[in-house]
Amino acid sequence: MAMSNLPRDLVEEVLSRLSVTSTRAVRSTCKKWNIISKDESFTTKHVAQANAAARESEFQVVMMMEYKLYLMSVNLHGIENNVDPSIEVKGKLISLNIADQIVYEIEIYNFNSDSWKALYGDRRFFVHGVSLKGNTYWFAREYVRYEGVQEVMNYRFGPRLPLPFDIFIIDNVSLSSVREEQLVVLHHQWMKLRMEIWVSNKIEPNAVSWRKLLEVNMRPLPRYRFRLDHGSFFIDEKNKVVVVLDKDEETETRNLVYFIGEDGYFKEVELGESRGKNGSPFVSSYVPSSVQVSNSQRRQLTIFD
Amino acid sequence: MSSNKIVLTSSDGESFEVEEVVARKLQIVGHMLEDDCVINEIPLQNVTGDILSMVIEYCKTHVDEEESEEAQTKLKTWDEEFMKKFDIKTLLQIILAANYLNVKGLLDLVSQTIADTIKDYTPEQIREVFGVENDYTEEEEAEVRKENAWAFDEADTPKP
Repeated sequence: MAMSNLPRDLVEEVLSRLSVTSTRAVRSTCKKWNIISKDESFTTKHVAQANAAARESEFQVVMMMEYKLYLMSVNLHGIENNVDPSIEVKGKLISLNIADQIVYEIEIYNFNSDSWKALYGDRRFFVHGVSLKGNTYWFAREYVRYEGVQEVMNYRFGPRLPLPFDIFIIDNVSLSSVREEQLVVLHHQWMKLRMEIWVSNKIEPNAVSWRKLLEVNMRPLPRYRFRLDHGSFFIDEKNKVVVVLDKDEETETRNLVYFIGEDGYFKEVELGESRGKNGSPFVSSYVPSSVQVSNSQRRQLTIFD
Repeated sequence: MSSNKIVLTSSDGESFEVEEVVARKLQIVGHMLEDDCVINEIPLQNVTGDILSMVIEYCKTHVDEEESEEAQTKLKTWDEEFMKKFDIKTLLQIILAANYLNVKGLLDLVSQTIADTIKDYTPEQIREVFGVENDYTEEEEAEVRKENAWAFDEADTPKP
């Protein structure tokens, strides 16, 4: 009895339970496994499992820190019963020649023409965009901008979408997403010492509606001034908790994760020390995909979201 | 609940008398009983006696799945111990049987157990342990390596 005797759907059943850290090994084992791991139904299973885990407040996120990319597992299960939240490294993006330094550039990939368009030089894109259902959203002062990618590779802005609050010049505003479904916006009112999280009910290129998920009084936490133009966050809708990744205000080298929720819930977890003061840890929701994206001879990578 | 007994017979002629509630955990049996409720002996062509006895052991243990956290934890511990008994070859036979007999819980459990084993192996070890033939030519293997040059790796994961 060998694994090759199993029907394809059973092989898929087994392989779909492996974490993404096994992808290279699975694909290198044999042709059949390589094909299965790239199949759409395989990815669909992976996504379904990730969604089921997220409903139990276990999330997979991709984090960039010090030009290295990590796959992290964040567990908020049971925090309503005083179980401490946890964040742990599941994997690190590493090449076969043991290199792990990644180059960070913002570029847009066009699936139709299989090509990249660089956005450097355009200052509007210095903040992180959030990709959702094939569109990318950026925060710009006064409005959220929407961008769609045309086949000709000229990017095109959609209409500006309104945010559900007024923004004072020193406020922090940052975007995130819930899986591939909702846009999330964090508004940290520095003057009022208040933080709000809004989640989109509906998000389309030309329309958005919002609901408030969470409002936190930051008065008891005056030293937490998130530098969210660089740092980032994600949310657990079920527990109404926002998870913020940032650098410590004092040292500017300690990387920290804050878990902030209703009724004064606050936990802080260390992510380790950076060598330099520049660059905050950046987090993005992880949506498994098996699409292979190429960029001429320069490099090849698998896209994350 | 009826305490009706059902006899399950394996492909090699071994017979097992089980409570109807246990037999119904095998959905293939459940469907047969719905079609004709007077059956009390069921031949199962695609599973041998030694494997069927393990499936029955699983079904007996899972016959009344209580919702309480304590019961769930106990079952989970039992599942782990149960899986430890088997080598890879047997696990592969059980997954086939669980699929054929349509025992969803067992199928999930065995799939996860096999996946957890694969996770720690290199491609060479996977091929050897699981009996998977390497059908790549040298060129193809180099191409796959190139395609997957960058990947998330568990091996080298110091705390950032």
